[in-house]
Amino acid sequence: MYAPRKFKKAFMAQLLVSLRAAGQASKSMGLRERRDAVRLSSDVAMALASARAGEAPRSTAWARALVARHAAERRNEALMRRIMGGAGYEMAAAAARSRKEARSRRIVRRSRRVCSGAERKRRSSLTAASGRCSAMAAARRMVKARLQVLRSLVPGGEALRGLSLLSETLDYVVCLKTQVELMQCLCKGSRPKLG
Amino acid sequence: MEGRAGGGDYITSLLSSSPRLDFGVLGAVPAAMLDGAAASGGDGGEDCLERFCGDPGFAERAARLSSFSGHRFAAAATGLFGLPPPASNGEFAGSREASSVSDPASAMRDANAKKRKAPAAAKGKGKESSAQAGEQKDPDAKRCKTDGAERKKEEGDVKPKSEQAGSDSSVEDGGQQKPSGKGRNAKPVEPPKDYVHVRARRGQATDSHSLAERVRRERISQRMKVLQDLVPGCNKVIGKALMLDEIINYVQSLQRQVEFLSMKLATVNPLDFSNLPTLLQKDMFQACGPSSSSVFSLESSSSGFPFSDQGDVFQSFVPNGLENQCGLNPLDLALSQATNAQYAFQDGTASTNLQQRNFWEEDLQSVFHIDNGQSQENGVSAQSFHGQLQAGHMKMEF
Repeated sequence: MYAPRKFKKAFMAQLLVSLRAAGQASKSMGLRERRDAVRLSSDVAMALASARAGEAPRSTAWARALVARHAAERRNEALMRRIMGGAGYEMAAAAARSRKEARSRRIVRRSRRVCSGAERKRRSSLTAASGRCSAMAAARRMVKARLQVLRSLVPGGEALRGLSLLSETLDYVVCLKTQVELMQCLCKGSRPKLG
Repeated sequence: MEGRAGGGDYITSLLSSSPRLDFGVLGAVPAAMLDGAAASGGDGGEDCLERFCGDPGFAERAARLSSFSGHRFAAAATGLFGLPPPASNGEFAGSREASSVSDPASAMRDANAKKRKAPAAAKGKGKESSAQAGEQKDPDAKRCKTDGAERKKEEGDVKPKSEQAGSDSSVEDGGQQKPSGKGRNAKPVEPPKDYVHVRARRGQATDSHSLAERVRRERISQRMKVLQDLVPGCNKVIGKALMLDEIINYVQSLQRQVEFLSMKLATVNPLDFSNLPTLLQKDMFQACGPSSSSVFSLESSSSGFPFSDQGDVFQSFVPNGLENQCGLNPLDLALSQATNAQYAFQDGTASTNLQQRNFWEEDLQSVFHIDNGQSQENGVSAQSFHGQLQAGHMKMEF
């Protein structure tokens, strides 16, 4: 029981709602589409539940990014509309659009920073010649690479840096855990009982 | 003491449930917050555990934490923090740039320092070592923080000790709350403003860059600790890179699990999810005995069948034509608890008042309103879940 019970309940309720919506929509869908519909509904449920039951006054960045990512695909539109209501879907679509602009801006900013960072690295490599410092530089590079991977994993993480990335990761991990637990419950529940 | 009674403080529960955390690392906060946690008392261990790792609102808590430490450290250590926001933002950006380069290194130094701090957590020791470390630190402190090379040279025993000393001394200072400090504070005091106020530690550079960096580093190490406790298997590895590795693996595995489970859900259950709530309740919520039958009857009611009586409801559910492999299960479950049929109907009719709600932020609020409004029975958890599902079903009709 990692997540607060309120969050779990909210998540479960939302999950059922959205799964029902998916069920009504996909009477005759292929397996893959069904799976995508299920995943979409559970993701949306997760995002909505975290927005609702989380104590933060604002919804978390990953939640918005996740929903926006789903909303960006055209074929999900009907399902999402049904789950979130028209207004919610509009907000998600707007978020998806704004995300693209913000991302380009951040890329520009990051490239500028990389240039200045390269200068600094050159300077530091000149002054610090001991093996220890190069080991530290290597360690820093490793950490940077891993942070990059983490950014690609966490939804909406490309824009984040350092501290916010870690907090978003934290939230996201907790919610993922809850999602897995709840879906396992669903699976267990819907499996036919023998005898 | 501050007496932050039960404000849902994440760090509080974190600390109370993980006594192995080194208090020195987190500064004065844990001491105060532990007292607050002890005072609040009524949270109980269960809530602490719940709040421990599962907090979607962590960022907000972090903000609270920083503002909390702002009030705590009533002395603004440097005049630079008192600068108007645009200027301070620029400084922060600069320090961020510098620290982003040196952060991992310093974080790893922090990690090493934690091991050394653990045996010597007493404040007295901290003071002595601070006295020693102070002289060594001074020549380094003069250097500009943005020069990464300099910071590399500081590595070794000096930095961790001074950090330890600094944190211990800040524990003391926080406890006493004197504005002018004890002569350790190099800069004049200013009344707290919007920013985070950090006391300058003895022998450390007191320009805004290093202070901001230190604050940032502390926050990052806090988060890393939390993540460490969250991700299984992270306790053994020390060091930012390895922990990040573990975290990445964990996130990837969780995502893969979600995919797999969604595939499983899609196959095993051909998307007829009406019976799921009952089964879920049975699995997840222990006190779900009376509610399952009521929910079940609600299920069928929401799908449009007449509200005749419980028997009819059940009979009409099965011939609904849902190709449901486990259709018998909810029936068995519901028939076994035949007590609260009337209760179910009452609630059903009451909840039809729910109309269209805006889903994005406020829908479940209505759910909880129902929850509060219909506290007729003792079983609260069952009640609330019951109420939630009602609201959900009502929505699905539109």
